[in-house]
Amino acid sequence: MDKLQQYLQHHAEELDVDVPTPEVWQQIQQRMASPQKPLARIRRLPQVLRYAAAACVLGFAVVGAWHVWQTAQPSALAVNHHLVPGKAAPKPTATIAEKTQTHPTPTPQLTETALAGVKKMAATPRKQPAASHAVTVLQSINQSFTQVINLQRARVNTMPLLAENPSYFADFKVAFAQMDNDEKVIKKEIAQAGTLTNDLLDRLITVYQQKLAMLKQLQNEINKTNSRYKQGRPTAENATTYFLNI
Amino acid sequence: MAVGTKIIARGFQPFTQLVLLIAAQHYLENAQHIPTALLHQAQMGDTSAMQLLYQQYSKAMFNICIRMTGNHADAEDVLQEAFVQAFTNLRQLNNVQAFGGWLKRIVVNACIKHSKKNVYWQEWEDETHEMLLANEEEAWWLQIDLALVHQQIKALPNGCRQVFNLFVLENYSHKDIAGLLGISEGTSKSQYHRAKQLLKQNIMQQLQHHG
Repeated sequence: MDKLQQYLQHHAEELDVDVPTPEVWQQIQQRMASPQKPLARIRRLPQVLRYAAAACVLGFAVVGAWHVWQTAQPSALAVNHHLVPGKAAPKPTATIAEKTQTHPTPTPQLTETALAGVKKMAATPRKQPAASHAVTVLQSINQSFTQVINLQRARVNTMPLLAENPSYFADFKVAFAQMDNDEKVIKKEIAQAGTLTNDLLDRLITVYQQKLAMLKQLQNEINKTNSRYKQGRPTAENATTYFLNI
Repeated sequence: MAVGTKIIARGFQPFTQLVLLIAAQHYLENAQHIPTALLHQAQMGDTSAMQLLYQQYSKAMFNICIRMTGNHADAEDVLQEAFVQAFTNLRQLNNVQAFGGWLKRIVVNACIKHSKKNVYWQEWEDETHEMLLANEEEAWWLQIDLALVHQQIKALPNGCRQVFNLFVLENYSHKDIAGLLGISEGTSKSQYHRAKQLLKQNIMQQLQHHG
């Protein structure tokens, strides 16, 4: 502590020579009396009620989680059944057994002969249902990816090209068309096979991912050229603007 | 006669002392209970109790504000803000004996908030201040009127004024000041040294002008 500090701290009260005007208290009083800021009385819940509330919240959380798990389980089974043909056979049996258990009917339980019959049915190659499953899965994947791709495509198509004309980005267009062809070929192969194998699925997803990556790259490229163009000019009003149609 | 009076007075001395002691104790007890009772009443929302508390503490708190802000209007705004905050949160104060310190902390925090909003801080680290502080000059302030010191503290420029007040009068360390104001410790030290130099310079000028 230096000497000045010591001296001023020692005489701190003598430094207090200013006085606030009476309006300050009036304003404080007004603010304290205003209904927006009343003196909040802190009401505390009794301990038991707090625990009860916590238990209720926990209960709801558990029920919610159970519900989500229950709804997610059949779809997971279905996906496994559709996507892994090798493991498809035992699943229908399990599903049938579950259904029989959850909906008790006057009919007797599954006997040994009935079970054997179901196994036999599952083991026998059934082209028609497998094909229909493959189509369903394919449609679902196709729909999901197409939505995202179209979104990205629309974004690229609405971006103004300030620096370059569309022919500058022709390579991207060619590559995109090539990917479209690849997609068609894979879909044809799936249709011929009648089932959606892991390999075909992987190939299809790869094509979709490539499409998305390429669109993103195109977007970055347009941004880059536009910003480079804008850097040299304070306003881009006189620039000829083009749009892509990919 | 005079001798007799002295003897009587000597005989009564212990009794008088006892009475005085009891009276003093009673007075001290009441003096301690008045703020406590006032605070309890204020905690219940009693405006007249709040007014008494305000009257008791406003001057000291206002002087902190005016030294920190440098002008009357801002100081009044900060004071008002701080008192409203204090009265609104009065229920959170468990130890009513600590009201003064608690209120002061609220006021200083309100001043710091105001400073952070209104002061542009320039990082200024000057290592020479350490050397200058070490070679402390003579105690030039001893003969100066404290009202003039107060006036000149208020007139210090933004930045160094806040650091000076926090360091000298509110007893914050440079590390704390740096953390509170969002500056470096070196800047806080430099600003303090600058404030000290300016304060001396301005006071000397004032003395020369007005004798």
